Amino acid sequence: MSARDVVGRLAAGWHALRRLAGRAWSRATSDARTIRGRLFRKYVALFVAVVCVALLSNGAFDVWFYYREHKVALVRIQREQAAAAAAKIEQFIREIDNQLGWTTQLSWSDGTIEQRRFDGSRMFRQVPAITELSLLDPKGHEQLRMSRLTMDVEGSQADFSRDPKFTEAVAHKIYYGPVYFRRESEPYMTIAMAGARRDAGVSVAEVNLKLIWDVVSQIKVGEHGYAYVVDAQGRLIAHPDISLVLRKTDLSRLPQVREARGEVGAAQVEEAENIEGRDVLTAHATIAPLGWLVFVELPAQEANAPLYAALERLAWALLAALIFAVLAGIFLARRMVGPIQALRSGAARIGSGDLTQRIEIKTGDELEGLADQFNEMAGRLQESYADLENKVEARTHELSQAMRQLEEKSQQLETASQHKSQFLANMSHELRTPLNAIIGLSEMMFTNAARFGTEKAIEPLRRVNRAGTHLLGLINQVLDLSKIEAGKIDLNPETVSLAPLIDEVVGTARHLADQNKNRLVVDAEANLGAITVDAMRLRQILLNLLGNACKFTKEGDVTLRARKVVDGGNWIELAVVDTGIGMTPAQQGKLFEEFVQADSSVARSYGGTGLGLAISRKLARMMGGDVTMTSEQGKGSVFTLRLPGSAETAPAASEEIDRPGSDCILVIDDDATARELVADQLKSQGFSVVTASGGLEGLKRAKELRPIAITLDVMMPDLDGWSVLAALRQDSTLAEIPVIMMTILDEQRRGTALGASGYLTKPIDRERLQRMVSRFRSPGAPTRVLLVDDDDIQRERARAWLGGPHWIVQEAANGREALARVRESKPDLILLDLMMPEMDGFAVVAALQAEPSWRDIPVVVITASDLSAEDRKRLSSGVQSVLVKETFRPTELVARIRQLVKKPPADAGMGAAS
Amino acid sequence: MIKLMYVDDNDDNVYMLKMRLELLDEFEVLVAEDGEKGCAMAAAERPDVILMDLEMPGVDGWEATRRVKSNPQTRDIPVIALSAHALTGARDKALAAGCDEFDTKPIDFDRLLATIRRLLAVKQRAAERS
Repeated sequence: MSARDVVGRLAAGWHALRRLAGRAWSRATSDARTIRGRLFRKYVALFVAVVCVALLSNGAFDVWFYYREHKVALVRIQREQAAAAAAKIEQFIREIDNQLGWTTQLSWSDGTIEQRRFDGSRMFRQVPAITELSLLDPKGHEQLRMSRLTMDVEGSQADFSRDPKFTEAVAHKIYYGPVYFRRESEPYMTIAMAGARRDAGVSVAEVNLKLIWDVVSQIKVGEHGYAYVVDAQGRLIAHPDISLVLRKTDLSRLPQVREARGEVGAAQVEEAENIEGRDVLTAHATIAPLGWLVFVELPAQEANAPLYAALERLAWALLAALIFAVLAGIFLARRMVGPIQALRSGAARIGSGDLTQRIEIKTGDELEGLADQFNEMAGRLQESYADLENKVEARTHELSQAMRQLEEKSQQLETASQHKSQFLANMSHELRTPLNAIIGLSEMMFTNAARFGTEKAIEPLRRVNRAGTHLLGLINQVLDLSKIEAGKIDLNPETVSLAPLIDEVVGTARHLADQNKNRLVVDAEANLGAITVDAMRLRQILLNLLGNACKFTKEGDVTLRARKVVDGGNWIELAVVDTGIGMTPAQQGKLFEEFVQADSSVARSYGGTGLGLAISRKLARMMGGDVTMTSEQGKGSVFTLRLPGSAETAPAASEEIDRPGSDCILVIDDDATARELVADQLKSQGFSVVTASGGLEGLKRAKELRPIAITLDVMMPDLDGWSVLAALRQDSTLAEIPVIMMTILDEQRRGTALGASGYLTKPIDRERLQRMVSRFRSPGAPTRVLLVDDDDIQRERARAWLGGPHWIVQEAANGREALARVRESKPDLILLDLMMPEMDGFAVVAALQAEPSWRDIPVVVITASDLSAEDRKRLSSGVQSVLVKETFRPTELVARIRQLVKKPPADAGMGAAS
Repeated sequence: MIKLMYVDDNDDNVYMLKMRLELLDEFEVLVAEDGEKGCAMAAAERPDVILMDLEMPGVDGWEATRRVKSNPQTRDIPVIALSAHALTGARDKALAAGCDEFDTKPIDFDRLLATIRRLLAVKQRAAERS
């Protein structure tokens, strides 16, 4: 079969294979959610490749060598056949030569024609192939001619002397003539042979070459193999296809011919093309004497046929093997990859949290071992997770318990704190009351020693008094501290000028300095300006610092330094510098702790409870500042109080309260002159002013205009200032308007009660009381004073202090009584305790104000020193500030208004003009 | 007259106790204002009884008591400690330092007197026996 067929069969096979493989593949990969994967494909491909490569290489190897050997064998056969044919032909020719040679034996000089004829006949008999014989004498004349077909001819004397038959024979002994054809198809050849003897002549024979033809034709190689003969020139002599011969086909060009002829440049040829152009396997042999060549050729196709067949077999085998390999590969790969896939997906599941997953692999090999490891790991993870969860639960439980306990504790603290506040409220009163008696009575005793004739008692009583006062101070400190801690301290900021305040404090501290022979110096910057602060507390802090400095310095210097500092904000820095004993670092560390005074040795030397500094710092911090210190033992200390700066730097815009209403100030005063004066002052400062000449009118205008501030004269005929105030306060739209009271009183304290002309804080001492009341003394006649206090002792004391011709003292134990007394006879002055049972001080004041004829009685209010903001509010009821008419400076008024207008109303406490 | 020495740095305390005791017309009261001076005076004057304030600067009451009790000249003098400390353990501390008795301030005068007399009686009896 032909190569083309083989290829076709191969291609068909290939397509079939592909289809099969595709089906197998999809089947294999479809049920591989478990099998799918590169690993599987890899294994299959690898297996298939191995099988194919093995088969292929083996097959190819085999085929190749088989082919080669086959070819070699074929060529060998052909060559043998060629050789055999050549031998036969050679033999034939030699036979003829031989026979012909016999005929040349006789010499022409003596032999007879008869003899020659006899030899000739004999030759004809021996060699059927010779059809004619021509004997030439040595001169080249034909002497005898014999033929099988025609009559013998003797002595024709035809001259062949120039004929190559004769000349060549003579020259070379034997002559082979070219092949020619008779009767169109029979090959003949002339062979001339010269005798050995000198005068033997030449015998010329015509040889029928049919034998050659037969020989050639008989040669059978395979089915389509053939042989042919070419002469020495390469011309075809014999061929199974006679037409080629008759055409005298020249094959000299063929490579095999050329090679056989030994031409230079011709290569060893075994495969060549024949004259038809077809590939042939060729072998040749030489027919020696003639130089002819016998070719035995086999069409390559036939020669290669076994090869193609083998190849096709191989291809089929390969195909089969491929299919087998794929299937086997799939099978094997599945076996191999399956466990791996199981491992992978199992691990993935475990990894994603499903710890109950266990991998099932029973392959009895390392994969199973691996799976077991995984399972073990999963098991352990499960355990530890479970363990962890338990632990977490336990902890959470503990935590929630702890939380609950905390909540309970916090509740308890809350309650405790509330109890504490309650306690403080009570203590404040309880502790002070006995001290009142101690201080008061002892003072009374030593003051009146002469009268009682108890001069001897003066010294003891003085000491008692001093100790009591000291105790009071300590108790106050303790209570202060507790209040600060309980958050019960209210700060009442007011704007005060720093310089006067400093002077005042220093004045108070001077006697402390003198005690230890210290020098007290003030070093204040110019233009310190004002500060918005709770002035009382500021004084308290400064006195504490100064007191400490004086206490711990002997015969040294104590300096109060005041500076403005810009450091991220505007600050006022007040520093107390002393040249005292200083402190070690250890002592400094403990300094601000409560109840610790550097250490106990210091405490013993210097006394005190060590509370002052703690309070000072706490207060400072409440005010937005701090108290800090530096110190060097033996050299001295510096305590620095730093407070936020003045109101000028307060944020402006946000505190500008959007008040509905016009931007004007309402001036209410019945006195025209006063009215004009105030109005002019305000106008010159850029305010717009509206005036009202009485309380009622004032209220009306206030409602209409809603001014930003109101100045209010206290003493007015129709509706006095306090009533106006009350009315303003009751009207919610007007209650927020700051009011400046203008009074005729020249006593001002931090605030004045509704109608109160002044106030005293308990415990009262004689001097202060006397100072206060002396203001209200009527010139000439004795002054009637009404003492209103529920505390008998207090009353008694006060009465004692007000002994003498100048005073007529009346008493009332509560508000009701007081009003009754007032009704009886109008006093010139009322000393009024605020805290009383039944009708308290506020009510009395209110009642007094309600009665026109009583309104002008000056009332000095006696109260505990710590008026709460509540109390103050009640008392002040909207009074923002109090100015004394006669002595106020217009600029002061304006400044005050400015400040008030800037302040948010809720914050505005009582302000005292400084 | 019983010679009593009172050691205390506080002026008011001294003034008061001296006056009160002397008002009884039984006591001659000597005063020392710190532990140092107290020890010296004890050795010099040999009082019959010592009232010792405990919290004093410099040589405090405990130290002074120890010194007094270790001085053979003053060892026999009964010492009554006076302390404003209300804490527990103050009494024990005082007695450990060598005090014979302990009393708190503010002083309960009658109680203090009783203590003084009791100690003096004990001392008396001890002296009579020997």
